[in-house]
Amino acid sequence: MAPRVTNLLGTPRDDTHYPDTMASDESGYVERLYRAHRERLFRVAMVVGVAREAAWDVVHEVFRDVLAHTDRYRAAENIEAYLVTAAVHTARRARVAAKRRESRPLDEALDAPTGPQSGGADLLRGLPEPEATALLLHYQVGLSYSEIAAVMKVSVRHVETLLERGRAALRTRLDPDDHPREP
Amino acid sequence: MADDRDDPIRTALDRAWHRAAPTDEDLAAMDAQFRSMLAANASTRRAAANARRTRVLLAVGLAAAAGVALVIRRAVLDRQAPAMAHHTAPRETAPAAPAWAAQVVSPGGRMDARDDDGGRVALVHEGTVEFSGHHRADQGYRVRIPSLDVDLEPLGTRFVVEVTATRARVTVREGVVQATCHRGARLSYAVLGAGDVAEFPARCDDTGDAALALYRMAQRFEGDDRAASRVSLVAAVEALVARHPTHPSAPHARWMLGRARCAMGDVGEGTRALREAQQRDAHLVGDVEAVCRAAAERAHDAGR
Repeated sequence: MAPRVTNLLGTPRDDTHYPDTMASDESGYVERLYRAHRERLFRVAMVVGVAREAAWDVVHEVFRDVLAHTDRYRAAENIEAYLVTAAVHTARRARVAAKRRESRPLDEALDAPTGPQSGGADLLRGLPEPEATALLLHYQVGLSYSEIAAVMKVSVRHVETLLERGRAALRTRLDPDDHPREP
Repeated sequence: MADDRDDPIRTALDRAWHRAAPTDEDLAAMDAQFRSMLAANASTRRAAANARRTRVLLAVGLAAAAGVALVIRRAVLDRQAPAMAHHTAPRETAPAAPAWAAQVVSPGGRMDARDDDGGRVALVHEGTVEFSGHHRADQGYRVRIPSLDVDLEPLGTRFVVEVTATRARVTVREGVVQATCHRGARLSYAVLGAGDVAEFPARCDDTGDAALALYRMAQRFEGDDRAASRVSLVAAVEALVARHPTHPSAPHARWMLGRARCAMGDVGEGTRALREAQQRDAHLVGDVEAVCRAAAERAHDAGR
């Protein structure tokens, strides 16, 4: 059975009708990846701490890269992990770029006045990229330490360190009273 | 066991993950971006293929022409030699491309100096150009930043462009400015309202595509209390749609335009725009009267 997807208005419909521009095999591949992973990558961007509209842009940027380097993505052993890693990287870069901008960015200027913003979703905001990536790959993608090490191209020992640092940072955020600062 | 100790972490991450779920609005915006990207990609590929074909034909044609010209020249020289004295004029060096980063285009042609009483405005190397209300897009005024392939079109507005050798920063003081980027075959837009500051080229190649710009504009419209600004925004969408009726994002833009009209209380125009959008894109489904009513109620609830 063909997968059900959501159209521009959120109404379920058949994947085969969307869109007409999908002529080539390559575009079809990117389309399938997009359908399967857009929501996940949006969540990754939000959890890392970018604004809603910047999260749209993160998804856009990642899939623009997929379209430009389809072969690289096809060769990835674990495409989900690869995309999540790319999304964390893009989101972090977006945050840094936004901070560097002296003037008020267009994104903020055009933010909708109503509607959900981060709403506490940005748990990993400010965490270093390697720690955030390791935490997401472990807890959300469900990879083992050795699988994370393979994706991040680091040693298993380093993955353990990253996860431990990430957890420690989160524990402090979750319950700051339990982790008083050293005098 | 390690996992037991980590439970609070997993729970917190799961909770954040749940809160980060995209809304229908988010999905619609991302879909619009994605579709525009695919359409632009297909168009770029077609253009590249055409350019390759043209280059090959041109090369073959030029080679043939050069061959014929050489044969003729040799024949002429053979006839005229030895009486003819060759002289080779030193070739003039082509003037360097102008270094300016922005130019103002007026109905009378390119202007080279700022003049506040109409018409003559700045051709900028590095510095500032200010557009005032009487320089209107409908009269043919616009600002081009050739090195970045950006056009800025004012809609009865005041805005300032500050340019350096590598960047241009646009500050909109009143009304609406439509920025169009020409990146190869890709056309992308950003619509800037009063108080916005945008930097190019950064805005040109990340999120400036038409669907997103229009989508954000509609959001802005719904939150904007200033009647003049609302009218300007709707005018900007209408101008954009009229200029690019076959752009992949045009139906989506019409849809937003319809909602905007309904929110302004113009139910007839609003439902007409919504229906037109549906006729052009089968993905835009739903009862247009209900959509129109919802937009109007939302505006009414917001006290407008």
